[in-house]
Amino acid sequence: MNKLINLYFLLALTSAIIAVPNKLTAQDTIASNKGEMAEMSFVRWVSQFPSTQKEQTQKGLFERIGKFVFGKKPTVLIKPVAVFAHNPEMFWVVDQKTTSLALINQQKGSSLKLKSTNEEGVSALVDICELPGKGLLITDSRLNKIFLVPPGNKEATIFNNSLSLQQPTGIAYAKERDEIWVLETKAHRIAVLNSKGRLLKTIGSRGNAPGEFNFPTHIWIDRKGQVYIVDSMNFRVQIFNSEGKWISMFGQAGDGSGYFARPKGIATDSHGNIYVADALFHTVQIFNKEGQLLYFFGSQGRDKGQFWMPLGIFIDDKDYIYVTDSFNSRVQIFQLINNG
Amino acid sequence: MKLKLYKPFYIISFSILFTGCFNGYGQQVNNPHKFSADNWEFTEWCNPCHVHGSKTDTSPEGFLLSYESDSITSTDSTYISGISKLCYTCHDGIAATISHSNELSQLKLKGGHNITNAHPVSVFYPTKKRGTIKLHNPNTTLSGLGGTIAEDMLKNGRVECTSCHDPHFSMQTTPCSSCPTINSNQNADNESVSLLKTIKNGILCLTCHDL
Repeated sequence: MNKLINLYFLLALTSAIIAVPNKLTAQDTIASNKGEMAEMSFVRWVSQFPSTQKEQTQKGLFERIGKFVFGKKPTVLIKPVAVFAHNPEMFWVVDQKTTSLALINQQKGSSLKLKSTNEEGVSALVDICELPGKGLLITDSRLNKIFLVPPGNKEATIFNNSLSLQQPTGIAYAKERDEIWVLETKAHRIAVLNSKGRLLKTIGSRGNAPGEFNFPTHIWIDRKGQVYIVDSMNFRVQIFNSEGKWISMFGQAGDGSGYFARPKGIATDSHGNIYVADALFHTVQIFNKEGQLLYFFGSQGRDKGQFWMPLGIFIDDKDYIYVTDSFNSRVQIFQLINNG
Repeated sequence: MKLKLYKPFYIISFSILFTGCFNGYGQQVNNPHKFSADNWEFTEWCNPCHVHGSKTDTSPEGFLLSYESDSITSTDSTYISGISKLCYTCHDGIAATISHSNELSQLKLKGGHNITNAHPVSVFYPTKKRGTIKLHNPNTTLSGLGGTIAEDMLKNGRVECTSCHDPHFSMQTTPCSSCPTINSNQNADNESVSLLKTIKNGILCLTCHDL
């Protein structure tokens, strides 16, 4: 089945090379994608939260009355940056602007403001992952802390307050080894923690050689334990095994298809294809395991399937793709189709 | 045809720019916009914003990674566009954090305008009084940088990040020799982040705001 899917992608890639202009300018991608998406549909748009832009920006009379009477604010996303999902009906969104974690359940949301008793200064929430049995971990690049939100708990705490990190950003849980991998963007390295938050080791240092980093920002660990790092200012993706040994890398700076301008969130689907959101292209580019571009979707805009500076990306077990469309203040959900 | 006519001009211009960046950046150690280690090739230092990555595309438009859209009227400050988008795609709290100086945070504008969080960008400079916001005429008021506000600070009539900041500016050493606004600017504030003019006593703010 994997071979079939890869063949399908390669055929599509051939079509894309013929049909899609090489340079990913806003005008080009808007024009090309609108025409091409219907024919080359590897990714299907499923839904978004909030369901409409109107819902996001305009409050109805009853909602305003409800807010006045009960003082309850509806869940509104302003700058969503990261998602963790079980399925399209239930997922969590980290909102950097409101410093909150929103639980979206059946298109209804409830927010938890992330403030702990020992929090100081200004927050900048970045990424989220699940620590099985203990809750959700959320990085804060300004406070240099990780928040822990226990299941069902309405209060966030600092995860191992003695832990010293330099601008923690991307975070992922390595199930195979029961480890937490956190990127320290300012230190240009990976910090590997045990499940209690104790630092086990660091990987990498500043540089542009294999295994070195220049502002790493996003991380994904697939179901086999393979680790994917967005090495943002080296404009590449680096792949490591579960022990932290470097395996391969791909990507370079550029303004054409398959290049990176502002690579952000990264994730893999069940076939091992690699998805990278690019905030300056307003697209999600899909690569195979060898780093060859297979397809991209999205363009600059506010319509369904378009993005305005996408940041985080998450793919669940059924290949639903969640993208935080940061300046459109929404999460869009897609699905990889023909995945058997 | 247009590209062919201007190609030599662009090549020469970019060569001068790169050389200038090299000379200027070569002296810099602590510029926050130097995205590479000290021993790297100078082209890598400029790569995040100035890049020719598409091997088949050598057109000058591909040089600066700035994306515009004709389909969107950027009067809404929630939709960052133009040159500011280049800034915001790093200053998103992830690759780089956004911070303003304490002096800006403490600044109180007449009329109670709150700019402690962020000054709006990608917005057209109002030519008429809007609410309690009173601004100088950009076409006739001198910026203090050599020309008028419109000439020196606005980008296509809009206020962008680069209206007040120059990312090439070094905080602690000699400014980039290829940056004309900085080199001719006697009001540059070496202690603030890349500001074109000092923010002390509200000098930068008062360039545009008529209080």
